[in-house]
Amino acid sequence: MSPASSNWLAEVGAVFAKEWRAELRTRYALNTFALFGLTTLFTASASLGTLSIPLAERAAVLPVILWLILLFALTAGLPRTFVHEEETHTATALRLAASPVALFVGKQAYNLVLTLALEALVAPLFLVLFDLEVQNVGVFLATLVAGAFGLATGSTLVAAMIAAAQGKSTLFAVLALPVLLPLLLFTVQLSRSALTGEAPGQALPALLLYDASVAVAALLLFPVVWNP
Amino acid sequence: METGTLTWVLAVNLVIWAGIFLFLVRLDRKVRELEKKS
Amino acid sequence: MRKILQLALLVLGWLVILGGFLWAPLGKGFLGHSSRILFFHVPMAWASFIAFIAAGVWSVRYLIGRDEEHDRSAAVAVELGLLFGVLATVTGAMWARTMWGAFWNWDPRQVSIAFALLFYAAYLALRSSIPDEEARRRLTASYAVLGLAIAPFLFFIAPRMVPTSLHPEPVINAQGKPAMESRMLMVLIGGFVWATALFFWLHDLGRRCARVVARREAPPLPVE
Repeated sequence: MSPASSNWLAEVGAVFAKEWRAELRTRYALNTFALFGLTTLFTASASLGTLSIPLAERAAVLPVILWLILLFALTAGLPRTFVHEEETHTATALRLAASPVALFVGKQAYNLVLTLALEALVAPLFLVLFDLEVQNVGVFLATLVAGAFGLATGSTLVAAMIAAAQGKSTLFAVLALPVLLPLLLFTVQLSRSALTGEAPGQALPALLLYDASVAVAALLLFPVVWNP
Repeated sequence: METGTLTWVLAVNLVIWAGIFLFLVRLDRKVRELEKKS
Repeated sequence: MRKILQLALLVLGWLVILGGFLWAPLGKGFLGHSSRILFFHVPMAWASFIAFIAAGVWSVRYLIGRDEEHDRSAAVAVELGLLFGVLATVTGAMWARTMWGAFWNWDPRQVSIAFALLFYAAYLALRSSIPDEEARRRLTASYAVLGLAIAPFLFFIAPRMVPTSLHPEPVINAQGKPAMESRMLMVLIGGFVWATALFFWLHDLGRRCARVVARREAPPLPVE
């Protein structure tokens, strides 16, 4: 490994570690995720679970609830990624300390781990509370992981964009939703086919392609977004 | 659909387009004046 | 020259309206006169499409050259794209009510246009909430470029996921041939020219208005 690339990896690791230290000090995002995910999930299951909808219909209809819960939990917890840096005036120090790409990858990795943690909490509970059975575990897990990657990448870039704006938290939802909606279409369809056992069709390649193009766009745009 | 209704819709459309057009021409003139002033 | 072009546009608009209502025959398989909305709906959808493409191109050019003028062009193009997009959606919904029985059916086309309108409305929301001018231009341009990255998913991939679209074939179908009666096609082409010219005229006007406003609001030069 050349020294340049090991430096770069070290920068990514440093950003990632710094994010976790800051997170574990307050547990802001983790608490938000846990509380938001649990309350919305319980509300949905309390009002829908009593209707005794047949299993086949549940499997077809409910995936959208899982993904909406994940999406809105993320919009409650992730905007802090860069807003925090502006508020505590650490943004300038970060600009000097890390290259933009390393900073983005570090923050994105941190957000990815947070998203996976949220999914690890919400998805099993979702299956239990709505009494669903996953027919195709591979597709379900692949959807969760690829979905988390796309959600984390898009959210990280949008979070960087709103750091300079006013009314940050509402604006984050407004900006992130149209960007993440295609991803949601794909993941909902994939989870549905994982629950019903149908063939997933073209949705998985479409989701992977979406992840790849958002990642490329984010890597190209982030230096522009971050450096005045 | 009766021919009468169609004629009405047609006439209304023609007038609306003429109205939009006149508005745009006036706007064009106004902007050019403002550009000269500043 | 400008006067002549403007008058030509006025006459062209009248001709398209007259041709669409009187001269062109009714489309086969359409209920009543519902096919006549095609001459307005399709050109507006086209105009909104080129407006969004133009906004993307101008945003990229802004990020490369950092020329304020390109940023203004992009913003005006987004506004016009939204205007034409809403008109296309409304005319489409009117037609859907006649043909499919409901204003909104979540046909893949309706899904794509609804998401596109959401995205560009979000662009304007971002634009209005960044106080610093340089940051506003840079960030909105980046957001528009991000839109270019996800647009293919909205317009080409997501509609394919749902196998059943009731939307009539695009003007040029899979065989690359226009499947339409020749008089209808001529009026429709007139409509395309009309909408395109109208877009560029409106865009020119909007950009110049924005420039005049910006010049007015600019702080006076500091006195030495």
